Amino acid sequence: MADIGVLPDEILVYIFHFMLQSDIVSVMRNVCRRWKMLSFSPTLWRRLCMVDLGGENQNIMWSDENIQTVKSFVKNLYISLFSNQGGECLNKLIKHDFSELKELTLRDSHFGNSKFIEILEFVASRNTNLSCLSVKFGACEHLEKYFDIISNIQLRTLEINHGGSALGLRQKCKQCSEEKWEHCLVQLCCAKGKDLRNLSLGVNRVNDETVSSILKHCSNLTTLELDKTNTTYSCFLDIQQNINLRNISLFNININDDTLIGIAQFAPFLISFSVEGNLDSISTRGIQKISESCRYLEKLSFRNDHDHAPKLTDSNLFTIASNCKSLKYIQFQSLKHITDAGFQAVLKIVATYKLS
Amino acid sequence: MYKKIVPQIKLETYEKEVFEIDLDIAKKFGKLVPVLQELLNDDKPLTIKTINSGTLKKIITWCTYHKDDPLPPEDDDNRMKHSTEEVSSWDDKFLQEDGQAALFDLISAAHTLDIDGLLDVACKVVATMIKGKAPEEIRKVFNIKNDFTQQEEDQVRKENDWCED
Repeated sequence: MADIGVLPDEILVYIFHFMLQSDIVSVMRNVCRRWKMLSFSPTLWRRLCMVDLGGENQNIMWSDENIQTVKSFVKNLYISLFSNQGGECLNKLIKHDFSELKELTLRDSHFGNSKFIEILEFVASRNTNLSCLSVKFGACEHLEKYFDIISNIQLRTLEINHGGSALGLRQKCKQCSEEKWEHCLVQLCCAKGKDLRNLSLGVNRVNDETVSSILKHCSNLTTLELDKTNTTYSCFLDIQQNINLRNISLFNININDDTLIGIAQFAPFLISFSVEGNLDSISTRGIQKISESCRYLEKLSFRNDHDHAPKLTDSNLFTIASNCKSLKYIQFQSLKHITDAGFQAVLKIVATYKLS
Repeated sequence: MYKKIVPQIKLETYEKEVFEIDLDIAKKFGKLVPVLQELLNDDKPLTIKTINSGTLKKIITWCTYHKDDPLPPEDDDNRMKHSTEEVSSWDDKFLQEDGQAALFDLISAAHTLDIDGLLDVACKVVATMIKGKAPEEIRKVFNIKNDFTQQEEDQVRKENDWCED
């Protein structure tokens, strides 16, 4: 009878890489000697790339010995400061040199003094190869210092979500006003300028003026995410075209035909365009413009709240079908004025669709 | 009389049973494909002693079902995305219906024949069987002997106590 023991090491490691890190570190290595050895094999950690350092999963316990084994393979570090474990994380960072680090995720530092700034500062000073920084629920105490550290890292990807005076954040920061937050954000993005490829500012207070200045300075952006911000998206109008922009995601408010017309002019080489929220103010005009202008679209998605659907007609679907030949995925909801002819036109070119 | 319509290859199993497999199905056999193609016009089968007939039958069924699937992506980034996809209910049932021993035979055979897609889903199924279990349960389920010394066991206990603080 074959049992799990007959499998060669490389297959067991392949199985392990589907497991949670917390399980690998605290459960699987306690099964038997062979599993213990494989739990810390370079092949496994090279595959996983990421270390969750005292993160979301509270069970994960990194002993110094274990960090020592995996640290040189780790490209992506994830640190959650939820239960004020910043000090311990910082000590581990100082003690061990994660020299290959390329991505850092820092989150949940808004629950008090959590060594957020010190951790950020330490990593920034050590890891010159860091190219992707993601801060979620970030502190806005010492806002200038926080943004000053970031502006000195050569980043290609920057995600600041649920930041400083974020919309709907339970604990609003007393020290920084909305104006200060937006001012610093603009300064930061301007400092990054053309280096920045991916920018995500979801769930923040960011107005049109802010986005507009950021877009002007960061002309090499390929991905832009502005979910749940307070822009009206008029920021795309009257601004110089960005031919590099491939992905735009907008969510929640104030989207209308002019938004779509603005985007169609601003980013003609879009590949993926997702919109979500109240889409009452979107009609034939805006959709027509997007499908005429953005001919390389592969994904087009409109998801609306309840029945706030865009007003779409068959002729829109005909235009999409005849212009966007690369389209692979399309989504529209609550369509009232579409007949079989429209569906058929889209079906001919698209493999995956959700039209209802 | 039997008439050949599509090119076929012949594989002989551990039980010396010979299977004829259509070439368009054997195309799933990654690195083995060139070898098999050379054998196309050969009457003698290729013997694979490590694979038994039951397992080879399963493999043929799986490859036939997934005949038209796109090949798994080559580059690492896409592979990572690929590897987070869920196991389909057909695969899940197909892989688990004959019990653990058959599953491990299948994984070994998929490894030998270099069938990436099958190896991937089968390993995911095993990972799911491990998830959420304590070490002792894992040993029981997979019939693994606890070969830690008393000293090592004590060490583990000490570390776990620290976890619960």
